Amino acid sequence: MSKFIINDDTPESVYMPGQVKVDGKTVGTGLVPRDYSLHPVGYMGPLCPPMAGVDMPLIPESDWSAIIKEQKANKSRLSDIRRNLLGPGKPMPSLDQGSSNFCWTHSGTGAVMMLRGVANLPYKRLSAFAVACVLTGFKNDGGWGAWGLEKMILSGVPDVSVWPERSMARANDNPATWQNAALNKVSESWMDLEPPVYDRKLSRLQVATCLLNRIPVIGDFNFWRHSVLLMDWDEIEPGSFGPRGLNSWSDQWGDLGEFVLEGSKSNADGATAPRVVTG
Amino acid sequence: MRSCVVWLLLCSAGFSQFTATVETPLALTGITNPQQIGSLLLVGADSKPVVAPVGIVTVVTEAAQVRIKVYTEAGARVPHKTLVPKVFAVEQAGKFWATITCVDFDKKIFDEDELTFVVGPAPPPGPGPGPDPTPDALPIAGEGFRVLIVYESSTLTKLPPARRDILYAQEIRQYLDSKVAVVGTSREWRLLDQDTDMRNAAKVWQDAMLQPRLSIPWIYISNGKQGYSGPLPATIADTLDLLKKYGG
Repeated sequence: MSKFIINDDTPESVYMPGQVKVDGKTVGTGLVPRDYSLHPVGYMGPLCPPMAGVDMPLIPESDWSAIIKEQKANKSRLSDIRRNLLGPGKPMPSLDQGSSNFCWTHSGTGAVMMLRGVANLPYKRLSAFAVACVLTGFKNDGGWGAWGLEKMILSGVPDVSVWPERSMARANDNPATWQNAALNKVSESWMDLEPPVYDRKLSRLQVATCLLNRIPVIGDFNFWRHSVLLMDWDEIEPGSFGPRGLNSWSDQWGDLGEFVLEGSKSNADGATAPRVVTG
Repeated sequence: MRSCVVWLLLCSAGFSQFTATVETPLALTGITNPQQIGSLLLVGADSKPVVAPVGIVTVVTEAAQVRIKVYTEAGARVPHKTLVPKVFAVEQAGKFWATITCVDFDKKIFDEDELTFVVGPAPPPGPGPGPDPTPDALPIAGEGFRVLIVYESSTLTKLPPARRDILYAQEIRQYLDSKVAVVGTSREWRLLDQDTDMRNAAKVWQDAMLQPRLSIPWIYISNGKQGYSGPLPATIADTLDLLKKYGG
């Protein structure tokens, strides 16, 4: 699998909104950094316990390389599952937020679709616009990943048959839509990762542990003003690690929609990890 | 009906947001088409009545949401039924641990506590061996090859990496994709966290998730004629061998 790497040497024209065009069209991001004083870790109570409160040992950095090598050998990473989800060599297509500011619901929606894929539930393309529209009152406003996920826990995400992609029509918002959405809820378990304070060591360890356990992470990155789905913890070169993610700019961008973050750009500024979806 | 209260729970005295009681009455199960005429209970001809003790957990709280998880001494999940909101039934004998969670965001209620209770005759003491896998039973109903693997996503780190990889390995997934029954758009195998909400799932998977298991991860296999229920093997190769016994 090739690597489309974003690091400190990568020109902004490759990844920054306003500079990137996909198929000749501009692309949006929309991250508004989460205010941890208003929305602290665990603010949703038992539905999103902090990862620190869950009895899941963190995987130390000394183990990462060996685990990643084994996962690559067995093709058992989330990106491997994504690349073959619709049959051998047939990937789950990336979502496409167009030029909207709704990255923060596309990252979580991608995570729900990924979790459905891991469980081998039948493939459904889900509508991230539905979640964003009801949370913003149908305004093209930004947000952060945990806010979008909150709605996916409480109400779910409808599929595109009832709320078409990139539609902002108010008529979509009806009881039948949310009955459909309830089939695609993030259920009782998810973990709110620590905010990145001090040396970011804890939050980085938590993100790595989730990804090495094939738990997708919704990662918010301030440098990019973007929220994206993280799938793997990758070894870019010996001793250099970072997340492999799936963007919401269609499969035409990056490596079939995927990218790898390296160096200072590899640390998420906010992260949540949904673990279980409706069966 | 004779019953006894075996435990009264008062959570965090002074700050309690719920109380829970457990009763262990006898329950009549296995009857079809029950119809009561006066003091006479008429039942269907295919009834196989069984009288057995059942654990009834009643939670008293103002919280809108009440959740319960029940475990055996060995830590395996035990299925329960919701009889009415906030009243739950455990329909098997044994000693159990229950975790009860009460949540109401509007009323700012969040409380959680545990209780233990015994239904029916106490299980024999000591850590005796669990039952062997049962190769001749059918843990998943229906025609065709079906497989269910149940795991716990919050404790994955505690599994050896090689065993963890079985759950996601391409070789296993592609084998299953190519061999299992297909119903509509569903290839009939699942990898499910033990806490997955199955209310809207197909009945075949709802029923399979209720099958007993003694540890996690656990695998259920059925080809419509033979079945297997047991711990997930230790390696990808061993798992493939086991699957091929039933799926060809």
